Amino acid sequence: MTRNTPRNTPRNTPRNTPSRNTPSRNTRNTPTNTKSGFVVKELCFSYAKKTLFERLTVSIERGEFCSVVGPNGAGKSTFVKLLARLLEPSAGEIIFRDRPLSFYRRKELAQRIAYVPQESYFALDFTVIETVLQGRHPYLKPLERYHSSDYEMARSALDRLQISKLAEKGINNISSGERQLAVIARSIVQEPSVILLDEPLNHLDLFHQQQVLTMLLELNREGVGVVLVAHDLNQAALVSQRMLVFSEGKLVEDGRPEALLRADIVQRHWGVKPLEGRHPESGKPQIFLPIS
Amino acid sequence: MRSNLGWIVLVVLLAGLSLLALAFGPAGLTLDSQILASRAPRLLLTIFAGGILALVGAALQGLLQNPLVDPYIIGSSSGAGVGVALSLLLGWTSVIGRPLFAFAGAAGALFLVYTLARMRGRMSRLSLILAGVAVSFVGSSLVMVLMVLSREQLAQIIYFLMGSTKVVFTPTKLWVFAGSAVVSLGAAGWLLSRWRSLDILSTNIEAAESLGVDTQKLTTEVFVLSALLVGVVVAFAGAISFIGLVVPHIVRFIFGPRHLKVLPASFLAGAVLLVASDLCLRGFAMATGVDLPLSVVTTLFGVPVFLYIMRRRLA
Repeated sequence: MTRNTPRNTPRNTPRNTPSRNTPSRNTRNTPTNTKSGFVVKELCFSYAKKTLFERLTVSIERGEFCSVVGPNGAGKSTFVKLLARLLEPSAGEIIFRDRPLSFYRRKELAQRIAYVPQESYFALDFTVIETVLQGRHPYLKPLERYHSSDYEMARSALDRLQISKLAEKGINNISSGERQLAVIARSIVQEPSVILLDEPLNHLDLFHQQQVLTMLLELNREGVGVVLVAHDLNQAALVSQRMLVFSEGKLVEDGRPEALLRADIVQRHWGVKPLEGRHPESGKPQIFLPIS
Repeated sequence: MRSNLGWIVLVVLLAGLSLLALAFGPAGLTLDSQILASRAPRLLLTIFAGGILALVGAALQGLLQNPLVDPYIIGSSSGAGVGVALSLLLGWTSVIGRPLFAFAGAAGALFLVYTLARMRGRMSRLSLILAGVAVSFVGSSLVMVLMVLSREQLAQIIYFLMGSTKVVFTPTKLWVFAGSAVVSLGAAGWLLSRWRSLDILSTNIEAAESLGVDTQKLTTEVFVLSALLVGVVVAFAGAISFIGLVVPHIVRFIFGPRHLKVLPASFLAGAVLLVASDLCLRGFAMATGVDLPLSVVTTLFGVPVFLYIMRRRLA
């Protein structure tokens, strides 16, 4: 699966690094930007007893690799679910590619936005290749069967993640990490323009973490936007061009990882003061927890 | 390979058993046009009832992600039971009166479950099961009340509620059945067209939606079509138990989990099983002079298979 029109748009402009008291940063990049992938306008969302987002405004550009980080309960997962239209906002709206998200039919949206949940379960024991093939659903009519090109695409996605040997195994007979890789492969065969991933590396060993992050970077170079919810700030800083920090339902920081991965900012939002350092290969900032 | 063999076995079994059902009678194995005309409608109803119940069972197990779901969980058979008991109480038992009452009861139960299951404009799978179970209990209670009120017809109601394809087909009734069967097969085709969405629904709801499945629409479609199909079956053949619960499991064991195969194979396997059960009953009736309802045989077959499946799942 290749794309002919690379749309990687690294951000050249340095971002500000607002404090908790200056959320006005949220109004950057707002509406009418025709290049925007997502434009979130005055978004409100509440769970039964808890208001999470109140007039949240932010935009994510096309082809951007954006990580979403924050302490537990900050609203990261809810944010990506709203972007995937898996939850409905109580007020405000989300524009995707110049059209309100609610105007898209489900299949139309699935051709453009893929979503990888934190965990997946399967009630029926499909094989891995059958599971990956389901990613072609948005392109097929109700009674249409999978074509040989769909099988090729599914196999190539498995190749890319180096799990071809699992193709004929039952999806419930492999490890949770392998299952997560199959779900990521399924999202690739959707040929989306944006992939939203909710902590996809949770169950993966180091080898597969590297595999997935490298693949996300490759996809991004091919023009696919990536929104990655992550707990590991170091990994997020290594791969993303932009970092959104959420805390208690508010977007409290928005900027380049180089500017945000600082001890004072981490302490402000996570309540721990880490040690600062640099990645020996890329030179990007990294943090380390002092444990003694 | 296994699935190709499975198709052949099912088709051969259905053809063989159907021939046997047409030829088998008190005079041994005979086939002439008069016998055919009298036995063919019963055979067609048996094939239709077994096939539809198993297909609906497979679709509902796929939709509700629950292997223990059977077509009666959505309450429409219970509604049909109320309709039949009411028709007997009122004495409206003409050739099409009883099926009409049964179908009206099923449609009423469908409306009730649909209304109860929708919360804030959405229908979840859990609310559907809960509403279905609640309406089933209410229906059973109403049937009890009607049975007490119409004591003379008690045996008839019980017999009907346990299923039978030994139906006297007048020309009018035959036309009504033929029309219902054609519409029902159309509805079954509609369910089949949702095979991939049902496949995808075996994963998280959120993942299914992100793959382009409109889960709300799918839930409503499968629920309404299933309830109507069960209503039609119960209206003509009563409530035959266990076919819809057990057959899809046997089929998945042979054909794998894809609904493109599971739905039509369940239809065939359900038909095979019910034709075989009906043959057993006819043999038993000839030997003893006692007509047993179909659920006796389907339950005797279904319970061991059901226990086997439960043990396998728990192992």
